[in-house]
Amino acid sequence: MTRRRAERIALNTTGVLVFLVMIFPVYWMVSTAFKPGIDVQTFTPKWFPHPATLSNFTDAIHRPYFWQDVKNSVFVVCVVVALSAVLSFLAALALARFRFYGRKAFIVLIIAVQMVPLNALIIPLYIAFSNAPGGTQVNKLTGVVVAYLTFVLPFCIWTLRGFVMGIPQELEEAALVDGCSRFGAFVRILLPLVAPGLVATSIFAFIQAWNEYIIAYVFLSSPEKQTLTVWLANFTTNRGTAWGSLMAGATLTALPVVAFFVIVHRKIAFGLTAGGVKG
Amino acid sequence: MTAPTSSIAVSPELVQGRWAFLRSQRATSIGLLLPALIFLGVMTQAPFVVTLWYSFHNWILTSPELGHRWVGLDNFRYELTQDPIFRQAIYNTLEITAAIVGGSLVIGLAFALLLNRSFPLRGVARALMIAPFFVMPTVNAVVQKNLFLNPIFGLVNWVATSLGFARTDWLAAHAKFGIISMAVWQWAPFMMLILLAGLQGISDEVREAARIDGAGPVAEFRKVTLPLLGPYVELAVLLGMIYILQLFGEIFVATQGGPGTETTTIPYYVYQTISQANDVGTSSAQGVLAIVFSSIIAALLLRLLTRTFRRGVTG
Repeated sequence: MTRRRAERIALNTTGVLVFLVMIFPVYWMVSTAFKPGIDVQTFTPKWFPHPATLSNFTDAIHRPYFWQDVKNSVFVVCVVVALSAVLSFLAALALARFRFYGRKAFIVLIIAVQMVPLNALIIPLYIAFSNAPGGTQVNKLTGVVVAYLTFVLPFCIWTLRGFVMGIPQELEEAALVDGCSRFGAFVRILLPLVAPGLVATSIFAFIQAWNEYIIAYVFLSSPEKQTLTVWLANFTTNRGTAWGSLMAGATLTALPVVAFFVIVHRKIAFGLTAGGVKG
Repeated sequence: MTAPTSSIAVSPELVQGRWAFLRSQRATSIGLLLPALIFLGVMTQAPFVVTLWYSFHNWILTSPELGHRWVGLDNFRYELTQDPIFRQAIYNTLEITAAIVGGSLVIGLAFALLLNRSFPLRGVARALMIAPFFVMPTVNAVVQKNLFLNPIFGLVNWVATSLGFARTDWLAAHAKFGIISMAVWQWAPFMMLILLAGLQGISDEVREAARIDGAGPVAEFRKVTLPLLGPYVELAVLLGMIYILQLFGEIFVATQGGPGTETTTIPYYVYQTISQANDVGTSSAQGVLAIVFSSIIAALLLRLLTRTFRRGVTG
């Protein structure tokens, strides 16, 4: 019994240590954001932001284009999430519930698309977007949305297909017998059951769209059109970089998302595996 | 509450038999698939075809007088036989991707095993462990580069010098390691998330049975947990690889592919060729080659993984 207890204590201690190491960079970022400029870069680290200041935060949010870029990021993410949810649900239905010519090929295509390095497609995308019918899509948020959908959709379709396959077809057949239309059965029976999968894929789409850098950087050239990742990466002034403010900006962009996902993370794990492992 | 359309959808099947039903099924399936299919087709296959087309041309944006000339396979020949940086980039990509996927998988598995036990505040600990995955890659790189790996004020050097080691400029002396450690910090929680879901699916009875049969913790892990975890490991590696092969933000912010070409990966090199050399033809050829390489790697890896775990389950 004592040996088991020793084992348990050892494992718990390891767990706590690992936990501290993993979480430390986040803590360090946040605590640096609260430090006055003189404490940011020191030979001997200051473990706690004491004295603490909020000036870094006020500096960061009063920087040009911060709020505009927040708006841009939120817009891009919302549109990508909404469109990818609708499109991928429809495609997943077709792939999971119908047998048709070219179905296997489409599934392979989806996985292949996901393997394509994005950078390899940036040139043709850029040229195509600048000559898009109805005016150039370069330096426009709509263009970025379309580009993001390209690499978000395959994963969402693939994952949702697993979800749909996991729901017994008899449920829909029962609805059909009761006089529901085929599409009605999908919307009334299947949609509520696939909701957890839809949440999971939407979260994934959210992360992808929120974190993406290269497309936003290449396509959005004017500062009032850029997204937050680009705003942060360009965070320098004429007199060097204000580290405190940079960390405050990073905290402001990272923490709301981290907090939100920490709350819903169970659903992601469930969605990633439930949809993927059955594949 | 029955909609009028519902009787139409069901009755032809009853009246005309199977064929009509199948036909209506096909019509519905095509209707459902078309939006996503058209979008994916246009957005991914079209750019790929265009990339392929450009890759057979000599087209340098800064030299318009050279025009847009058909050169056949010259770009590919140059990349495969002459360009030393491209070869270096392939090697770097393989090394960095393998290290990140491997490192984060092992660490993620360890985390998952640690977290798959009951202890106070388990939910909170689990939730917080995921946090690194949700930090933007560019933010991660900025933080690690300037607060941790900075040669003078960085925390890592403070620890190293306090322990009596020499002060090191990590991103200059061990750039690859710097990039790998940044990405592992970010991707280990992702692997943990998937593997934890897998661990929770293994019922306690199976383990108990193994224990009763005299399996120690190591044997239990090797013979029971790992084989049952197989599909989840496959999924974690596949998903991780898809995204880690395209790692860009960290390299762009932290090292810009340097020092020299130490951390120049294929995605970064393609970006450099188009944005700094303005060479559309060559960078398109690099892109096409990158697609070919990543497909081969993915296919090989998947086969290897499947074989390993099938053997593990049966043997």
